Amino acid sequence: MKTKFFHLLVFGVGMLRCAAAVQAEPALAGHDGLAGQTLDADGIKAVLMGKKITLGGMRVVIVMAKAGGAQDAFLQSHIGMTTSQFQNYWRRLFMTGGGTAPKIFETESDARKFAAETPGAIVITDSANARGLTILAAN
Amino acid sequence: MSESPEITKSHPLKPGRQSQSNLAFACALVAGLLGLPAVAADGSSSLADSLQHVWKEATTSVQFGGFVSQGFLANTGHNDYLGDTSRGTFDFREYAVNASYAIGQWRFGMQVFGQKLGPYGDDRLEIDWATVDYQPAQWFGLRAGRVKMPRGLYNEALDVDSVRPFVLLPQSVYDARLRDFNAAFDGGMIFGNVGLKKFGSLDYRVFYGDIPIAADSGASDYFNNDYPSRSLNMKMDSVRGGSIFWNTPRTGLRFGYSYSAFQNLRSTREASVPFAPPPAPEIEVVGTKSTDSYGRHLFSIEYATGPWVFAAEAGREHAIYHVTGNGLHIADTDFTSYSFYVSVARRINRWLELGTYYSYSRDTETLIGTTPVPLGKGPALTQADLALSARFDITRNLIFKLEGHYMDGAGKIFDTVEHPQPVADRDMAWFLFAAKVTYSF
Repeated sequence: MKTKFFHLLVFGVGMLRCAAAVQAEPALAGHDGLAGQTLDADGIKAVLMGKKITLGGMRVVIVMAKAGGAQDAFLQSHIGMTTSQFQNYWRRLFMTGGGTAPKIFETESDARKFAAETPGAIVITDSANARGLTILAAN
Repeated sequence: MSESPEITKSHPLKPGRQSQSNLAFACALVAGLLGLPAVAADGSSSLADSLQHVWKEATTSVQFGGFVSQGFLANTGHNDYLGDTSRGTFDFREYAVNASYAIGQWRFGMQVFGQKLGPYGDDRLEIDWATVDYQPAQWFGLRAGRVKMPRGLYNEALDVDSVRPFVLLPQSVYDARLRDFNAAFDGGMIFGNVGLKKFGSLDYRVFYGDIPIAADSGASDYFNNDYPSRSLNMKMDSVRGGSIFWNTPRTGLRFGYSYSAFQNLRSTREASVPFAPPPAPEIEVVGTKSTDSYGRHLFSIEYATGPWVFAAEAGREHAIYHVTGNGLHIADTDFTSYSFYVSVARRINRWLELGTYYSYSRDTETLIGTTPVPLGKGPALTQADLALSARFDITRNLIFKLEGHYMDGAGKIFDTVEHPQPVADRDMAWFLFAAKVTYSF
């Protein structure tokens, strides 16, 4: 009986660790209308840098949180920028007529909610929190 | 589409404080003022709701932004560089407000801008850029209207203080007084980004248009810097050019080349000219200075990695000038300008960024043949500038910058009728101090 309980405990801890690992995986997610769209590394870069402005026939609306771990990790690994550098990059484009700036929210939760309700919106989030969104690319 | 109150806080690059109830009130007020019925005949929807929807779409889709900056400049010695800098001047400010709207493959936007830089700008409001974009594919887009000129790494963002640590960009390449030459053109541009798979990608831009130039602008003083004269007008037939940047597979590393040419650039000017040694009186002459083509080349490299940004640019400008006076040909001169800079910037922490650069320019204007007047100043006009900058991010929207320059040479000083500064009278080793505060929204 004790052995069975111990095995269950080990299994449970393992599952929790797996769940935590899944939760920590940042991903690029989008509005449900973008279902079926996938982005490779070049595509992610092109969309985030404003080179590619439509996805699935819809204008891309980049949605961001003011700060966020998943966001920082994803931006760093795909375009080599922190959230602050990314916002600076877009400020330059936006202030010179070169693009439409990301919409920025106080929290990742607000950003996800807006993305879920806005056609064409994309947002960087933990994949575990992407309910109501479609995953376009994992980290 | 329903939105929570939190969602209506969105704003480009800044969390906003928009209130949905205010929008509803505004729409209801508009509907009321227009005498619109509150409820449609079938009772299923109201016109006020429709108006509210339209208003909400407009206010969430139209992006607004802008900035206000005020600076101070002062230098040792008696050179007056960017205004009355020998005594110290607060005539150093810029401000702008912009709005843009995007839908599908289209984007519309405009920015109104004003500035004061010593004798230039005069706080006159002007349209800085106003464009319509159509981009059907990543590799192909069209932009028309008043378009920011693509030139080098930072030309389009000349006025955007919030994206760099420097008060003054390296003046050898980005001379703040030459806004009329550099800021924007009226015309069209083709642009795009072409993927090169494992070799990165290419950004290209090709443009054609015209630049209106004010007779009292810094560009005009620069063009007429060969001889103190009053510019009556300045024009060009067209400007054309482009830029190409290779975004290498190494993230943050890019190389670029930019070219632009002003076709039939010309100025009508009047000057007092000594055709004979004193005490013979000077003769008032109205003449022209023109060139068939003023060409500009600029090579660029930038590497942004982590908190570091390294950049270097080198350029060459060239023109053959034809000078006339009272309808007679006076002289031809060969003008060449070389310039380069190297810069390094590093973000230290959330509130501090440091930067430094070394910038150098060398202008020569040599006489072709002979002339009865002292045109073509002979010795090269050089100026080296070693700068050190500190940027303090006081809040997310408010920044403050301090900057010191050591100048070796004074080749970029203008010698004008209003403010004569002949080469022989200039200080050749001097310090310039700059400070600036900028609020962006």
